Amino acid sequence: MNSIAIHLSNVSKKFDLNNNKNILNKSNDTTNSSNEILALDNISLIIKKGETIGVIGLNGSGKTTLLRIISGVYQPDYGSVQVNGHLAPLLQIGTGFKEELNAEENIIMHGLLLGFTKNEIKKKISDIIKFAELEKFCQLKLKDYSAGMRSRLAFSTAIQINPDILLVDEILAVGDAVFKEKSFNAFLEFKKQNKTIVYTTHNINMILDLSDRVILMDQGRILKIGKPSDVISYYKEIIKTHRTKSFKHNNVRSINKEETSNSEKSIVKPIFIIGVPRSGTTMLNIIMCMHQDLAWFSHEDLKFLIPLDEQKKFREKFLRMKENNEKIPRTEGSLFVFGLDQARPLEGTSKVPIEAESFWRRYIEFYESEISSNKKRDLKKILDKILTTQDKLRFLNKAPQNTVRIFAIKQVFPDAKFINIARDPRSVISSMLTRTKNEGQFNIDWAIQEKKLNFQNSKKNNELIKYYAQGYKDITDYTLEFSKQQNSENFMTIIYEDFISNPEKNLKKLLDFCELQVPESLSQMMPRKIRDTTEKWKNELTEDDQQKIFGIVQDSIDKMKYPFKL
Amino acid sequence: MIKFPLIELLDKRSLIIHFSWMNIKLRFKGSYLGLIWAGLEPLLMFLILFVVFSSIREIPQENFGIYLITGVLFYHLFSRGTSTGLVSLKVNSSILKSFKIKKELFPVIATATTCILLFVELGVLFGLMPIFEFTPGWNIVFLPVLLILFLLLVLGINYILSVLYVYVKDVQPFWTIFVYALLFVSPIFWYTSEVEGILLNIQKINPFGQLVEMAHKIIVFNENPTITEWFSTTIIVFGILFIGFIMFKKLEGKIVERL
Repeated sequence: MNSIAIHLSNVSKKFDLNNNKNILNKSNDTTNSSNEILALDNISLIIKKGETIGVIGLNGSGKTTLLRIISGVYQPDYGSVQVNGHLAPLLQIGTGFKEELNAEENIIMHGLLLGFTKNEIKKKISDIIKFAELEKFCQLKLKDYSAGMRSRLAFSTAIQINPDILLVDEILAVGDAVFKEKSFNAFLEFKKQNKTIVYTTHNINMILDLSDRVILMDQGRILKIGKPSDVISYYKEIIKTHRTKSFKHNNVRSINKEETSNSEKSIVKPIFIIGVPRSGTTMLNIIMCMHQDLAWFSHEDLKFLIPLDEQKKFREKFLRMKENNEKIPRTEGSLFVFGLDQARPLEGTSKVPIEAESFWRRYIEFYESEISSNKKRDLKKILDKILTTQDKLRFLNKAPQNTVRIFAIKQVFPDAKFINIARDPRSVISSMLTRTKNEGQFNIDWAIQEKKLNFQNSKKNNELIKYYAQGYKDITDYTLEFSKQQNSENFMTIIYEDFISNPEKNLKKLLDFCELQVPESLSQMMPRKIRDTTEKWKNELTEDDQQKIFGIVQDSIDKMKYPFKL
Repeated sequence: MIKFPLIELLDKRSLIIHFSWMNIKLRFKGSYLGLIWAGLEPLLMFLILFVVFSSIREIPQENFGIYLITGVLFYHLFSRGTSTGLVSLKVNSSILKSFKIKKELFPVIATATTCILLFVELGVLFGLMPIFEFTPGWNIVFLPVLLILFLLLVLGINYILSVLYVYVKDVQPFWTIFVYALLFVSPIFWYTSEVEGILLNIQKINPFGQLVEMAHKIIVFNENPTITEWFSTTIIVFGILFIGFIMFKKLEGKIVERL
């Protein structure tokens, strides 16, 4: 028994999808599959001491739930979990950290949570900060850290306190290449000490190089377990032969077959626009929605799709209101285009207010008289499923949001098209600076909206800009890499800067991809809209300011050897 | 079987103390006066009530200032302590989602934070005594026992509120109103000898009001509360603590998934 580090016996875990269900109407009916998802299904597993186990699988396959069950964060509904040894979980970027505290204070807190005494942790603080390469930033509050810096801090803390078992859930995905290599070496060192590692990743090379065994998960079950090369080959084969459809959850599959039957005729190929924050998804949404066959619906950061025949009704209503000079509510507009704005790459940078229930209340109130009850029911089922998949499956939430959403949407709309926008991080930084110019203060930390930095305090800001730029570069790289992996005719990536440099040509390409006609009015309208928005800063900043901003950004980007051309 | 984790709490004292200090630090971080606010808040509240009630009515008994500040301090601590306790699981959701940690620690940490504030506020009380030319009697030796009862009451309520809030969001606005009502139905600016009818009936079943009344006896009137008062209040406080803890343990199973 001593040679066993982790023992899972017939472990199952269900998730209740009904957010409205509360303590007051708690039901004992655990068999109601429509409100529950089986995240882990009868998992039995023995991991020996000193083993390194890689866990792979598509998003939603149960990898994170498995790690949370092992770590004791979740209690299994059925079965038992036995862990022998001191365990350090790295399950989510930034967790166990407090935004308002600096690195040192957070390390102490993190260490205490991992079961160490304050004195034990204090002795290790300098080693942890050194390993994380955060010496210059150890007095900076966590809220000023990028996702990569947080990840480094968390990983470094866990490694340096030397646990017997390390659980790592894709936390290194956001680190830079240098730190990834360093982490990899730390893993190897850990292995040499006969420690146990269980980690999830999408990095196949890492799996092959590091793992003793690999677990392939699908729909909460272990599909295959064995030698890395065997499991990876099997995994690749599944992807290559388009067997991803078999990865759909049973509930989603039934929705496809039955519940969407009425709507499929009208929702042929919805277009989903995705992109990192401030990459231009909203603008592209608006532009696309100028198309005569499209209308747009905007509810805060959410854009929803609706069948074409319904769109026409809204379009007519929209035009009628416009003719009558009526004030058009913010919720009017294009409904075919589904903008997946705000990828939430950094914890806390973009809080998309997604609340399925409250949205539906408002949605139904607004369109009460316009949608037939059957259609309303069908739409609700489809959209609720999307929202459910992206919002309520909390075990998916750590993954890059767009990735999760794309998989979820693909299951409901197999023919959906995705336009992926990547943007040069230099532009993002510039627009951040522009955004706050009017306030008279340079507020690089625009998303957190609390930290106001003085523009004159340039030394500190240079470092911040560099790290934010690095963060955006990582996100952009990830976005591009992800779109390459899709390798599908239904997936298109555009670099926003290229797009605006020759908008007419690129618009045609874009609309060809969407199989839409380009109306004359639209091609004229777009450059003007883009010009209005992207060049606005020129009127707001003095020449000196512009040069200063670009000097700072250019300098930091040059140091990063950024691969894209501005 | 549910066990009260006294030994486990002692084991985790380092974590509890660190988190409590951090709560204090974060709460006042960024303000110019910092920890001074911990004492200044109830002091200002006391001044307002003192000016208002001294103006609108004849002060019924001497030492009204000390009587009022005692009530205000207990009320302020109760209000702060339970509101911190109410959100204690919610605000630490990221920790609960990432570490295997006893969930019952968080209401305890909220109560420990109240305990730290209590020392600051006691400083305000004893600081005001010379100003009102007041000298406490020997019965003040019973004050620590009373404060322990008070903190246990806050802990019991924190167990209930924190876990309920995860499941039912309405708890927060309800509790805000409830605590507001406590200001008026507890003997903070009025004397039990002054009131009758509904206020007196509420006071009889109000454990917070009972504790405030006992504090008044110990601090202001140099009286030892009767055995019946000590006994009944202790029973009620431990009853609430017991019910709160059992309720917490019964409902904690799915907390992480719901946060």
